Amino acid sequence: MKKITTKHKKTAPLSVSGFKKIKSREHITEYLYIKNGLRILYAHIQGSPTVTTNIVYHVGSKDEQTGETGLSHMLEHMLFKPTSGTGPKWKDIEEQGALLNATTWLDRTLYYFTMPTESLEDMLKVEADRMRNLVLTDTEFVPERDNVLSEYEMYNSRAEIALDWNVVSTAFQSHGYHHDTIGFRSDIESYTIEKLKSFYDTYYWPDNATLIIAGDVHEHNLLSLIKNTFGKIEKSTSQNILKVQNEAIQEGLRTVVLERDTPLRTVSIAFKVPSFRERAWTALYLVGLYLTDGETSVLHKKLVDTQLATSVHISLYPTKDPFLATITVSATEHSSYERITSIIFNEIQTLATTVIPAKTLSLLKEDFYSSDLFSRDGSHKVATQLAEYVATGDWERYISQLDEIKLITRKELQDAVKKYFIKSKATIGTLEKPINS
Amino acid sequence: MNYATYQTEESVHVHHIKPLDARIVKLNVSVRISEYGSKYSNTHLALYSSLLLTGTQEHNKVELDAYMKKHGIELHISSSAGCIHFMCTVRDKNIAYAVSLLSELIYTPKFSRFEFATKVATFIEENRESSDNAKLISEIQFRELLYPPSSFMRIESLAEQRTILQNSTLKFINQVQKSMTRGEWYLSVVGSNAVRASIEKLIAVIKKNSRPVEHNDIQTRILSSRSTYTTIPGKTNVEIRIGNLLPITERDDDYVPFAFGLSVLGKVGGFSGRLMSTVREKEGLTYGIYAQTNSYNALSTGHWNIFTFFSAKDLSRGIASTKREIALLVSKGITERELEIFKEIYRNQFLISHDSNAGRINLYHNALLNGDTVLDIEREMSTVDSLTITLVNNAIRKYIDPDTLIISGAGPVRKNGAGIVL
Repeated sequence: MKKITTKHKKTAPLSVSGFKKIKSREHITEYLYIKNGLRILYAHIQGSPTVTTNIVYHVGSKDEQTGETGLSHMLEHMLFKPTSGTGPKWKDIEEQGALLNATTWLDRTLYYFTMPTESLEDMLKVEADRMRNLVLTDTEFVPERDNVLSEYEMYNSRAEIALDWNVVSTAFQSHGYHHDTIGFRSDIESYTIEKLKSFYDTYYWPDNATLIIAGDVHEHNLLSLIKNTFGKIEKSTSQNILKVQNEAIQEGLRTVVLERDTPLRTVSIAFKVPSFRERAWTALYLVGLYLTDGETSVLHKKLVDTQLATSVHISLYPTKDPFLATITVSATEHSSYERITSIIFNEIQTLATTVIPAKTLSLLKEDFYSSDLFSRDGSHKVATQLAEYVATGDWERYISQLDEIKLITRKELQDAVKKYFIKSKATIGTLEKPINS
Repeated sequence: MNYATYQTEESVHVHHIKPLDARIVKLNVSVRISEYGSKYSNTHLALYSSLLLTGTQEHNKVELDAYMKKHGIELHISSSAGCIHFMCTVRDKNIAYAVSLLSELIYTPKFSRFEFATKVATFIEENRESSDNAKLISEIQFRELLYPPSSFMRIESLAEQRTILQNSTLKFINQVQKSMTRGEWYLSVVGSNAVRASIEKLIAVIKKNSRPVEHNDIQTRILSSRSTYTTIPGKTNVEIRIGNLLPITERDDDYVPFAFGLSVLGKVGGFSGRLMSTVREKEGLTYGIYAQTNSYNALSTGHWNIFTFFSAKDLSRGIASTKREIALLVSKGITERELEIFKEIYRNQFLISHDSNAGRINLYHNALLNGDTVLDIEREMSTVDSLTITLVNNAIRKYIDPDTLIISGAGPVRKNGAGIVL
């Protein structure tokens, strides 16, 4: 195994042929391997005893056709099956104690390893191998499909998760965000090897991937390793992988009820919000903190302190296309869903008409800034976070969003609320007991 | 190595750990309360810890929240088995503010009637919701089968929790406060030497009232087979626990070889354990299946168990496959290849724990709470390195009888253990 030196010299990086340096922001540098279009992001973490590789394929559940929902997730499972290449496999690295896994979501599928720095070459070899050398057979596929069905039931068994699936499916009618990443059960049951192979051959190419490396590795050695491992892989043969999707305009409030025999009582209100790349997303994130973060937040005081609920939180995720901000309330046994939603809409109306105090915004910004700094702790977390920014189409926001936060005004928060937290564009989901339960 | 140093004085134990990123300070402070078990239950301590950020003599809840936001302090307060935990993250330049806050919360909290009543009401509601939590119910039942009511390893049943909450008083919570300041303390800090020096003041105050707390839980025999199942409607998976008591402590010579052998069976996380390879990968019976040991601390006995879930239709096959793997481990033991692989896993996972400040404090603070120091961690690594197949297999055979298992299940399952398939 090649020894990787861990000294990082403060001089211009040595050139390795075949690469183009695209840009650097603080401790992160972007490269392009020209021959096959593989993008590389290297985040330097001084003194890190470990290195993390995180390869992001720009394909997620939003790219799935009707009848084939959950295919990207199924394929993610299959990337842990045999390949035709020689050299180390993922199991070899796992048997050395690696922290490893993969996840699929709306815009991307990613695979990661964290290991002591000396293992970097093997980690890259494994990713290069399974990028194009996967061997798909029914022997491997059939039991793995059962595992995916087991995973489906694990999530579906939880009423609050199933409610969330229904809220999203009701909010979105035409966009690929419509269905959950795991897919519909009937679609999972109908997968075939041919469908998987077609999906794999469409999306698993170097020019549809970004390879993230976080750690303390000499850049010249890193690029040489990447060239030796990924360099032989050709560009994709598929055309027009990236599709533009639009959601139909919502004309009026939507509601959905999930009936489950459960003591839980949950009500969710989902609002359509812009993509992560827009400044308004950041403004709405701060609004979300104001509304729900901690016991001094507005909705905690109105709902939990009054014993209408046991908890309230907001979910707002970074996505490539416009998605949802969802306020979820765990209601108490005898409280009224109508009263809870009325209180939430009233508070939103107050925000739309009155700017929040300057001191409050200042504290929210400090809170955001601190949380963000604390989360950038170690190669694994840095690579994981960067992967989500990469998936939204703008990795630089990992740096620029912190500057953006400082400049956001109270008026911007108010404008964002007025534009996006509109009742007629919302979707409300409620959990109810079946009538004959 | 040399990532951390250990000091102790007057029942105050401190790990100082080198940071990866010196800008981010991690400070964990835990106190073991002396009257736990005889007077205070887990439910009492959970209620108490939830009230700590609702106000102090100096600041009300809003002021505390503003203080933390202004100085960039993230603080989580929780409780577990006799301990209250303060887990703090702060920028290095603001460590003094964090230390000041902790002192205030430890020594001068103020519990208002309104906040107390609200918390009790919220906890009672959450208790009601927990009747849907198959995982929790399976674990509660499992511990009820293993341990007598007086054991620290028992988890209060939902009914017991509800009774405790309904009978709780503010006066009682104030008594918990007095007991807390007289406990045994554990501090871990990831930060520079300057940061370490800045918590010396807090340590000096803590030392004035600290005292040793003996909390060793000893169970001396393996139990005969028994099982219990609870039906929870509206679920598709049955949460399962399978295992038995382990009548040795972590200081016993058999412990490390036993734990090593158990990790070959079902190492937690990842896919390397045998159970994941067979029950999940080959047979497709579950999404996750793992095995672990569990005890109150290094001087207590505990138990070993497998935790997993199966669909109702796969329940009997899943349990049969799991039992088969247990029997195989006992009869055939682990292989030389597995010995070498898992030694390598153990070594590298120790290194990977040092990937971040968060990873470092988790490793060293959990060790402290367990009664271990940096030296004990190093000793254990050395012991693992020198393990042989004979040591591991002998330990497994000595303490696991595949025909004597405790099983607990909750979900779509009848009381006789048959899955309810709709």
